[in-house]
Amino acid sequence: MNKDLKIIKKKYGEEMMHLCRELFPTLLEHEGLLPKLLHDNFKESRSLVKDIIDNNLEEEFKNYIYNQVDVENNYEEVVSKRPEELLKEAGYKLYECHSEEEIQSFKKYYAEGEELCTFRGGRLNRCFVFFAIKENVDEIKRENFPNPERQDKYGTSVISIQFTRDDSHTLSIKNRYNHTVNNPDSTFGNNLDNIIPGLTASFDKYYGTHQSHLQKTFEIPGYVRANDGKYYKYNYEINNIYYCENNIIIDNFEVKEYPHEQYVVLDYFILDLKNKKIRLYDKYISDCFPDTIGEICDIKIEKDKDNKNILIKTDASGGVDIVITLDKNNKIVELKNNKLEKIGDCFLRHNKVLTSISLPNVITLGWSFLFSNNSLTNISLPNATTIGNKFLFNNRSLTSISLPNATSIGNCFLFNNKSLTSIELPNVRSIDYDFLSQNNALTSIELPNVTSISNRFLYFNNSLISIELPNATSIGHGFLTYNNALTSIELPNVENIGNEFLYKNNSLTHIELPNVRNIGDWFLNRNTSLTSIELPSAEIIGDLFCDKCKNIDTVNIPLIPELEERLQAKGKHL
Amino acid sequence: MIKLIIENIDGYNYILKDSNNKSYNINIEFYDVDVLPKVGDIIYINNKLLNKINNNVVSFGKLDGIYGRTITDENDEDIISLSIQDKIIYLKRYYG
Repeated sequence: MNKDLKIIKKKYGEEMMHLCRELFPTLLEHEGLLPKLLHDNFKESRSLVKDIIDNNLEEEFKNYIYNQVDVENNYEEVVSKRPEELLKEAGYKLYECHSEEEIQSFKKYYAEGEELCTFRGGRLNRCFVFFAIKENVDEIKRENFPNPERQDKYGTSVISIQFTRDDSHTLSIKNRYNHTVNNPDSTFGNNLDNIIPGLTASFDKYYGTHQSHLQKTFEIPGYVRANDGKYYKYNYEINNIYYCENNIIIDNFEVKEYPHEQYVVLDYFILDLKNKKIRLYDKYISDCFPDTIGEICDIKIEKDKDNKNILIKTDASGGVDIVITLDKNNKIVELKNNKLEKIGDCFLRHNKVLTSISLPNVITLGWSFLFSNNSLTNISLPNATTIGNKFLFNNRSLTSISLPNATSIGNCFLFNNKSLTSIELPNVRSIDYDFLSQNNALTSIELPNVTSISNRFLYFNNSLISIELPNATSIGHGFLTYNNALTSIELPNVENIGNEFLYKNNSLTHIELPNVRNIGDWFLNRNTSLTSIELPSAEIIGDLFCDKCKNIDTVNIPLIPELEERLQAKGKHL
Repeated sequence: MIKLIIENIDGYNYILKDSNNKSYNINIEFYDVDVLPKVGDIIYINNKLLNKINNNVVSFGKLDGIYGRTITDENDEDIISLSIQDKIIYLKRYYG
């Protein structure tokens, strides 16, 4: 095996070696060149090749590496050819635009919604503008490309080549898909030689577009370029600080490496093995996770195939009471804490990947608990009584949750979750606003002890068929507003109801609210199925009450005679 | 968002400086603004976008313009804000 390929295999893995052999055969003829280029531009990582391939960036990667090469390319033979000739060999016809009319004449090649902002006008003030049109452009139809990719036949069939008029002559090659694909202004990696070799020099010679710096950037999701010129894969970016694999933190693009003998950088925390402390790197982040660890007596690290377990004792005479499991990139994926009783605010606020958590003795949770997490699918907090605001706010994966002793639920509880099908809240008394407001999978819920429910309770849910709230006395605005499946509801003790109560529901045929006194606007506004309404204690009812109700046989609202008149006018009788 | 102060303007080339005195050179075309930014005005930009456009060319226009991506999230990296004469203007990246 080529010596360079062996080096690449050792530092970046076998797959990277295969990729380099395929992409850089000419570079491999210069011993030492390719490993040096990779080393100078990419921190050693076995994930790099997978990330390049998964993001379809092989072409960009190739262009980027070639742009770094300081090799004299002998293009004497081809640079005698004009850009028009070279592009003709590549299947294009080249046009230079000297006027706005000429630019506008190319607008016809772009699909609606994909026009270049060049066509706004005025681009000639800033750039030299060329268009290169494929000879067979009429055969390349937009409708035959339902899954656009920047470098596909359609995207590259009409390209606008633009050089800035200043001395840098910065190049941008515009794509026919425009902003509907990624990096549309970097088609062919903004390297004319990728269209046909020698084209850069040819434009330079015949149009004077000498580029003072070639495109030297490479965009790969999840990577940051530090001041040392290298790309690093990062786990988190918070406040412009990048927390990377292998104990590296990049702060204002400066690389800081923490020695493995003493430190573990996990998520955005630093665990000091020698001094037995865990802390946030950035003091401007709010996250109570270090506080939940407490005083550390002993730390052990055990590794298995993919993960690393950090075993922590907080009591010298006791056993391990905290286990933090890290994946191969040092992100926290599992957590067990047997002693913890109180959790403050913003617990692991930025962590997205935790899949398993065990907190058997936690009693109170502050706000924004696992705010960003989207990987937990179930959670049990058997002793928790108080749940703070924005609990698992962004989680969309949780399908079940058990809170058998919870009495109070804060606002925005599982706000973005749409998949929860099962929830246990037998003891909850108060629920704040936006409780599961995006959820549309819950078909039943039991809240036997709840007395107060705030606004937008299950606001978008359209799956709940029945609900019993035997002790509820107060319900806020937006209660099950989008639900059209509920056929049965029991609210024997409710006294106050806000606006938009069951606004879109058209399935309820009967409703009885014996103790309700105040009802807001748009109560059952769209319902045409209701045949009987019992509101014997109602004193104040808002506007558009049962506005579409046409089939009511029986109405009992003795305390509001004007409402009776309105309903009579619609043909109902009392 | 990173705060950048416009230090110098040469045609379409803007020299910007951040709070750590680091300089950025970006060729920018602004659409849909009544007044172009001047030296001393401030641009707030997502750091990921800044990394992409440094030493490059870019255009910005109004948030509902057809030449950029549809923006649904206020934290979208294509959004910048300009602080011009005590007014804040929000623009998005235009492509093409």
